[in-house]
Amino acid sequence: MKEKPATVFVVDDDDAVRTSLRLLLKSVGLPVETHASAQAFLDAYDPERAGCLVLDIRMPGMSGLELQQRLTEMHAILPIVFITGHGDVPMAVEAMQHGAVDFIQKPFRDQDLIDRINQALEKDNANRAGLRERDAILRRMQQLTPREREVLDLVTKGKANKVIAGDLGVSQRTVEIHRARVMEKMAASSLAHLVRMVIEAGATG
Amino acid sequence: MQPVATDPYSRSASLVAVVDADAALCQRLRARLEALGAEVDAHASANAFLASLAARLPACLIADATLPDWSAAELLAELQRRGLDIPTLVMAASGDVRTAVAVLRHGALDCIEKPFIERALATHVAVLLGH
Repeated sequence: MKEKPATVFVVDDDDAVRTSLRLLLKSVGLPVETHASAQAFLDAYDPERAGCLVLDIRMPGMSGLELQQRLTEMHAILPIVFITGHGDVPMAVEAMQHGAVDFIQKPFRDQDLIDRINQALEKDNANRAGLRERDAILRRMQQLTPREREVLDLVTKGKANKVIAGDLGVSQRTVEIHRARVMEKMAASSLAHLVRMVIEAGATG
Repeated sequence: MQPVATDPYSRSASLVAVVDADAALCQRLRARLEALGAEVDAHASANAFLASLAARLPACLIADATLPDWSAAELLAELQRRGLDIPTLVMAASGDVRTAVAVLRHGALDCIEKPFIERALATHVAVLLGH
């Protein structure tokens, strides 16, 4: 499945700000989608769409910080760059503590905003690549038979074939066969690679 | 290897490092922190603080955003480079949003405006005492 192009989602209640950001981002070739309220953004929100969110803090209705909280509750991974006209330190701290990529105050230099947006897009890209990798590992793990799964757990705990044979009450030769099948199904190039995949998938223990 | 005490046993659970060039502020924070049961090690510069780490690691750090030698963001980056994870509260000038964002990006736990720092200590007492 091909990834959709990353989009910069701009949420600001001020028409003039939305227009100027749309023009600015288009001028550097970034796809833009603007929303006039947090609720309008949420209504159109699709977790599969990659990109980042440029979010005004103060808006009538749901504030930017409230939208950030809602997205966190929804396990959304879209990185957020906050922009604000009248920021204060506690507000900036709260936004950053809740995972914002950045928090910038108006007036800002266009290039500064573009730099932050590019950082946010890179972060989203890396996060999504990590999730895809994790999904791929989990899919491979699901192809293992229950016995292969047991062997995988013991192998990644660092147990030798002889010990595993004893634990499972089978011959060492049988363990070797299972182990080879596990390596093949998991597409592991080495034991270290196999262990790393299991850790990445969060499937240890 | 840096000549730094990274052994977990050299971390002192109740030691709070305060780094600020303002000696009077250091003195006030020392009194407040000692009243909370902390042991306080005050330094006037980032370099003096870094030198002290060879002897003992504090449970937490309270640093001024703009030290004479380094910014708090630079100090946080240096601690990270040395592999030292010291919970850090940064004190910024009133309204200095830019600094607050920079230090949180560098892993600071919180950024407090200087006029509110003494009040904020109570909120962070568990961190300050290494709990």
